Amino acid sequence: MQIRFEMSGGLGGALPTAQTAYQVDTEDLPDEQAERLRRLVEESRLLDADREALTPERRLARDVLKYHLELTTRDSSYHFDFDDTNVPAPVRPLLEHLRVAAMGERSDGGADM
Amino acid sequence: METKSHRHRAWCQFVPPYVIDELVKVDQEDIRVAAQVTSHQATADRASRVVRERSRHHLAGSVKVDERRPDTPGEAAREVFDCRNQWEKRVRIARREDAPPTGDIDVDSAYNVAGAALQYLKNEFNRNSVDDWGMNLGLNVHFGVDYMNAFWDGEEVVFGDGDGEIFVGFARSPDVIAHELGHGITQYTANLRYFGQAGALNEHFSDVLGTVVTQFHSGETVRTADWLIGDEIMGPALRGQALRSMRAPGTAYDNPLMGTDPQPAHMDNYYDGLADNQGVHINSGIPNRAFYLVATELDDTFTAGRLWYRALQRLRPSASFVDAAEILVDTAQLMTGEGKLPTGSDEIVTAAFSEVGILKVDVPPRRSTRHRPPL
Repeated sequence: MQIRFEMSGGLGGALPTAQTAYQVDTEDLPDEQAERLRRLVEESRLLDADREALTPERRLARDVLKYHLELTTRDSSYHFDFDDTNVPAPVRPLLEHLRVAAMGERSDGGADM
Repeated sequence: METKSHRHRAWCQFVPPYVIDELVKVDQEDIRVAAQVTSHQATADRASRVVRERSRHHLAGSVKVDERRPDTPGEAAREVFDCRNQWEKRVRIARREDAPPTGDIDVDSAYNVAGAALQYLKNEFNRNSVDDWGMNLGLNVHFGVDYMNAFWDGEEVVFGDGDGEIFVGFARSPDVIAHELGHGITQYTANLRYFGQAGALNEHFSDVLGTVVTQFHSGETVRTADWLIGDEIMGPALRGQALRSMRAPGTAYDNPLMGTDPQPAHMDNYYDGLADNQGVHINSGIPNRAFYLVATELDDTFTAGRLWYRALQRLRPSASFVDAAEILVDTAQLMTGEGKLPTGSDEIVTAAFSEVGILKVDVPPRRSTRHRPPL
């Protein structure tokens, strides 16, 4: 599974702490990390998500962080956009995992897209 | 391959310039970004019409402006919620109006600064809370885990704790608290779009409110204030720096963790990229600097604040920098005629917006007796 994650926005605008990205193919990860990521995706229930069931955004929200997520399996590609006002609870652990991974990659000097 | 888009709404995807550059290189993402920008604009237009209609009726004294709005004004009570590091709002009530301090720095800071903001709005503008209809102020602290942000969600404010290294609790900053409440005030007045120059003005008015409420709350003056936004949330490694500087945009921070403050202080350095909703937090530095110049020349932040608030109510949602500058000049003339501003205030405003490159007017230099540090 290929995963692409982008975070942007926030009170600070263009702060690198809020503008970050991470891209990974679980095939390239050690087994344990790949399994953890696959489990987070499964528990997010995003691949089964009914778009009508997702909470609409708050159009008047300001300074929120925004998250773009792409999940590509052998059969399909799924795109999602969230912000802090409408991230479904089961999705948060996945976003946090990806955010931390992105920040770690950035601090290692390799964060780009 | 099947592609399923769950982009069920029209938020713009905001990416920084270096990311945009990469996207343009690799595929058709630049087209996607542009498409989303257009989509966002349409959404903002619709939202603006709705809220502006509501504001217009509100100002005109109409009774029924919103089905959710109570028939009688509220009490503007503060409600501080402890999210207990969950990703949810209103997890537990931590402090209600008139309740004693809790000992939680973030809870008490949010409570106290929101109180100062309410008092300032009442004293200065006879405004009854953010919506001028006495809405309660919902303040959510300890949101999420290591959450490095604060935001206005359209109804209430949410604060993260930061990671403890780069940022500490966002609710500990009067500037940040008042900034977010400022978004609410703008929503219920001009409802400036959140894109391009109108978006930068939206951010600017929030920074102005953050500044005046902080000075009101702390007893600072135009001369003693630090004119920084968010200096209180900087972590141990970044102490002394801030998110933004009203006095000298572009100088708030410069470090390996955050990079260099990208805010311009003059239109010559205007950011015209797509990131940050076309630079709403970046280009706000330009009018921010103009506000600082006017406050300094008037030698009173609060007098400048009164002028800005009055002008805010005359702006249209899509206002540009020039629109705002012209309305501020005109408002200064009106308020001078009413005896609410000193003679020559319109010249001060004109000179300030000329100095930052928004107005192209040759203004003879005023002989100022004020101390004004150079940019």
